[in-house]
Amino acid sequence: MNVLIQCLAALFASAAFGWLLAQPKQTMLYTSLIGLNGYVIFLLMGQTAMAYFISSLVVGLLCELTARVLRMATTLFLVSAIIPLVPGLGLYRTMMYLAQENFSMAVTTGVDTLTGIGAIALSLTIATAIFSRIRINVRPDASPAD
Amino acid sequence: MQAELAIDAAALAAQTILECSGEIYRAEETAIRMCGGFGLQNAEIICFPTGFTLHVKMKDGTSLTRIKRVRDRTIRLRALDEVNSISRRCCDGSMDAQTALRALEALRSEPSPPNALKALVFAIAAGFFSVMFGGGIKEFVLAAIGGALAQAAVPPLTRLGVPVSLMSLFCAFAASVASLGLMEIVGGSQEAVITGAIMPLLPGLAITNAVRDTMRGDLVSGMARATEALLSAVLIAAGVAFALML
Repeated sequence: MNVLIQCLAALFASAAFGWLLAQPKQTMLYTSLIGLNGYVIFLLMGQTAMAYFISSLVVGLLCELTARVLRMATTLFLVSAIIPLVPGLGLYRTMMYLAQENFSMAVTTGVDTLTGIGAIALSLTIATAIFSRIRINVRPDASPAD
Repeated sequence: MQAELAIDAAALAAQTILECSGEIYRAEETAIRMCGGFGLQNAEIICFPTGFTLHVKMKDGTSLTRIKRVRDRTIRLRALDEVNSISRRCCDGSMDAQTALRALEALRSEPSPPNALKALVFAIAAGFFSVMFGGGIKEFVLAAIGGALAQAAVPPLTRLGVPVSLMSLFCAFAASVASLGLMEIVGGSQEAVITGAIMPLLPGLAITNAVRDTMRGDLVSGMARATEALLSAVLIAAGVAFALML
């Protein structure tokens, strides 16, 4: 039950975040659903570095796909769909331990957080690379500027 | 004269994309395509997050150049989409340079939403993020108050002359101090509240852009954006740490 509420919160959080970045309205539904999807995978996989990698890979691929189908820029989707995965909790915990002068825990959590960010960056790179040579022309007038 | 208008329109499009935090290749491709659409075939552009040079060699041997320094960068994804559709219409010939220039200027002069509304949405986002990190209704409200303060602090800080690059330090500090102070009175999970309040500040766009720029071969810009993301994350962390040490 708790997990369900958390996932729903991820949905609304990424929608509100999208509004904050002045995202086009017609993309809002897709990004929050993709964000929810990514967070569910992340929770199911147990919040490890691998979970960061797989969930953001899925998010990246879904965003690239949606962007091509709707003929819009991928960034419009990626930013608010990935935000539930950004390791804010790790950042906070690192600072918490630093403030408590518990340096060994601070280093452990800090490295975990950095690994998470690295995993997200790597999987987004892979998603972009997979799609960089693929052009899906849904409409005949599609220009390759996407 | 027609060529002057065309290069102005293309330069303005590139400038708008950079100012709205678009990717580098998007700015470059848009400008080149618009030049091509207006009949300027030999266009060359080099873009960085902080500025660009656009050069067109004309058929009669003369050349046109536009250099722009981009100082203020905000995040406005909708504007990116609009520029995209303007450039598309320029390419297929259904829009001339004059109209494109006017459309871009109209787009750029669109007022940003009032700060009170932004603070409200920031608060909602912060609240939901804190629930996402395991908070309840109490945490939702506390994080929302902290988040609203973080966004509301931006205009007065700007008036005080705080540089944009340091803004996230002060915003994170304001959010953390406010929610820590309130938690002294009503209690609640500190972790969920503070993390929720700072989540909307985190540089998600800078990270994605850094990755995408690097992938496209814009190495300099990719590194610049990665540094931007790292700096911003460190500043947010520092803001939280200062608040925790109080």
